Amino acid sequence: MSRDDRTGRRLGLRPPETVMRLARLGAFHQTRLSFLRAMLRRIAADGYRFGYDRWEIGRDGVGAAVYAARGPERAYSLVCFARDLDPALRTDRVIAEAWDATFVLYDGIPGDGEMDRLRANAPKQEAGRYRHTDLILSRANRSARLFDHVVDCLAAGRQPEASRLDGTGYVMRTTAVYGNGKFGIADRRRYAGRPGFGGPFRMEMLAVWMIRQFVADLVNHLAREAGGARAVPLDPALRRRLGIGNSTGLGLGPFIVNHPALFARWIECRELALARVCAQETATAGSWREFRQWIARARAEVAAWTVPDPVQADKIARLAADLDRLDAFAAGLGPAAAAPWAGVRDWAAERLSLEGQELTVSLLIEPHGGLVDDLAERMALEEAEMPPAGFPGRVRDLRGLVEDGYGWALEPDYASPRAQARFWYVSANKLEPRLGERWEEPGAELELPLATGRDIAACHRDLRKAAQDEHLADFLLRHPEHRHAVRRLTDPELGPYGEIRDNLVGADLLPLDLLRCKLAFFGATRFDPKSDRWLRINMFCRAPYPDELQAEPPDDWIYPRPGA
Amino acid sequence: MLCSLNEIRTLATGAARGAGLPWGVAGEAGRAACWLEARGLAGLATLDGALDRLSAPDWRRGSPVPEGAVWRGEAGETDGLLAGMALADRAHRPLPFASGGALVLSGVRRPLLAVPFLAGVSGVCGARLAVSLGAGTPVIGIGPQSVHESCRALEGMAFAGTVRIEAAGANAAPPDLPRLDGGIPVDGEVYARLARRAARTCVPESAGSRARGAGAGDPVETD
Repeated sequence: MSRDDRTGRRLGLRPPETVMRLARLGAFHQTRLSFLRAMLRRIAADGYRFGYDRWEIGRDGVGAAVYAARGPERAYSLVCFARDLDPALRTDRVIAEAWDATFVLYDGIPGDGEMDRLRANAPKQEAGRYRHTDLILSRANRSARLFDHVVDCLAAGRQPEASRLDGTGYVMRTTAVYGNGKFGIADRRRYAGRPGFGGPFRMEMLAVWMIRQFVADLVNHLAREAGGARAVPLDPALRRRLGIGNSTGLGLGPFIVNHPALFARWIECRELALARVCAQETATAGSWREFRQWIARARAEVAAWTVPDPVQADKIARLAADLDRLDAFAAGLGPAAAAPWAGVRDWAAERLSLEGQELTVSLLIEPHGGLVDDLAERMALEEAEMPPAGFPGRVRDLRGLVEDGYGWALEPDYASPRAQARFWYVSANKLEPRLGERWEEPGAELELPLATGRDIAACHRDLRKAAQDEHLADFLLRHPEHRHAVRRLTDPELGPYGEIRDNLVGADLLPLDLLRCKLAFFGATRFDPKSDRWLRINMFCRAPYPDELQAEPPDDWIYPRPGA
Repeated sequence: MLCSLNEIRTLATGAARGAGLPWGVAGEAGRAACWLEARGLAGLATLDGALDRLSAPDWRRGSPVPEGAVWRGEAGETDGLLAGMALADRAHRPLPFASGGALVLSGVRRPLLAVPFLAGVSGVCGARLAVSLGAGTPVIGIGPQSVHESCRALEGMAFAGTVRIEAAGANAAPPDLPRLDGGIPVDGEVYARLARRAARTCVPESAGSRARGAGAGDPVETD
């Protein structure tokens, strides 16, 4: 990334005070930089080949399967264990102890001994123990609405109705996808240097995509076992309509706060992509036509995005209206206008809802793969083992930095109960992050350091009291309680997009926004809030399956094609 | 048991926080323990031993008074973790060994925990450091993000009367300990003790948290 890219001086990046507000981050949509799309593009380009290594699933749907992904240098295996779970035990919550299927993405092809080890551990998930040859750990449950229905239809020799498939969007959903060292599995560092897997969450995305293949095969297998000669396989066009569902709760939220430099990189690359597009003075007729087509495809996607949550439903309705207006505006503007892409961006910023503005960002980026796809390879940041040695500045320097750049942190009156109404903590029961009500629940003294604004403000109070020429190192010796705040403030990797500029413990916090933002970077669609702190999503809906990847463009599927 | 580096860092950070250290200090303790374990050194066991003292209400008295060529704690002794942090924080300032002299840390508890920070100082200074514990003891070479095998002399060492730090000569440095990429063997008892400390950072479930928790409501899915 050039210096001009990093600072955005020439490109005109949207300023962080606009971008880094939680309500906007919570309105993000997937883009072509999203991790699952970048993963698919890359493994297609690298010529990965896929196939079964084992299929040992019985008539009852119980057993094991192994899928191998063979790349130019290495092979990876998705090891799957399926069972027939009592529906009464089927829960998406992290308190669950049994699942319909469990998975390990394995580094290489496992032999019998390794299969025995994985068979003894993977079905237990968090209660098992894993090795650094195990890259990703996951599990999934059947959709009560759809799984049996699809199997029954196929067993009876008929295809399920497309509208019914679309109503749910998946026949199984994952309830956790663990990476980076959890429960003894491989640290990201083990594979981050491998070609194709340097981008964020690439291995996780590969695992989920291969799980989708397993689920489709399991459905066909069970239909065949039940229906015998009458059974038909799921029509490939219908199969494509099925993604993999996912239920996600608060465990996902703290990540983007705890890894601010990495998060800043994600945001920066997305903003750079938008800025590169908008810096073009002209549009070709072809790129403009493609943009208009993506608007039409997004309208079809939004029309099919229905959720019971009234708040999100209202946002979706406004988004649909926004897309109608965007289409009309684009029709009137045309590719011959001066700087048409920037014109669309600026028009949307003034007239559309946050959802509409951010979907417009995705649509502007979409026809410009050649211009922006390199950024998907720059979104990772390997954190240093130790923080950089040395605090070279003095108190006055840090105080100036806070007063110049952190007004959002200093603004709230943290003495007010509403400003500190919440606290983040780790649950003793499941060792997962949770959000508590500070004035109503016990445990606030054990809160996690996620109140970034409040903690920076507290540090600033003591900076004001200190001798202004005191070395920062000496200030920290007197005030070790501010060390985590000072580390954030002085992190050279943080950049302008490192901090969410809202109070993350205030009464008005909508934690769902944190989850939605991260999931949009993953590439999820069909956000379906179930409360203010958990939601369901869909991943890889309409994406090619492994056996289709080489036969068509790997990245022309995220929104439905006309007539699909 | 075999652990990932991320597990080790998370465990060590949680244990240090559970012992009562502020989050920022606990985070650096976690990183230091992980840095050591990644080089096959007993970072977790050393931190576990150090936390016995660092969990005291007056833990800050284990920080060195960073003045002159001899640093010692307010009460005489200093903790390796806190001494290492104090040194690293001052890496850009004129430390005695940067100009050909020596810095002596006096009365250091668990000196191994200072090593990861000294590796960072070495990087800033642009020179390897030579650490010695007194006459007749091996010199430990520390480079930017690396350490020589002689560092094993510090494993299990609860206390060093003096830790002398100088810039190493220009002689070719011997090979340092290799960096491991996971599958780190961890003593089960050490793990369990640290996990108990880390558990003190967790909040037990309450009626309120159950009602509001992620995925609250009917635990049986109907979707």
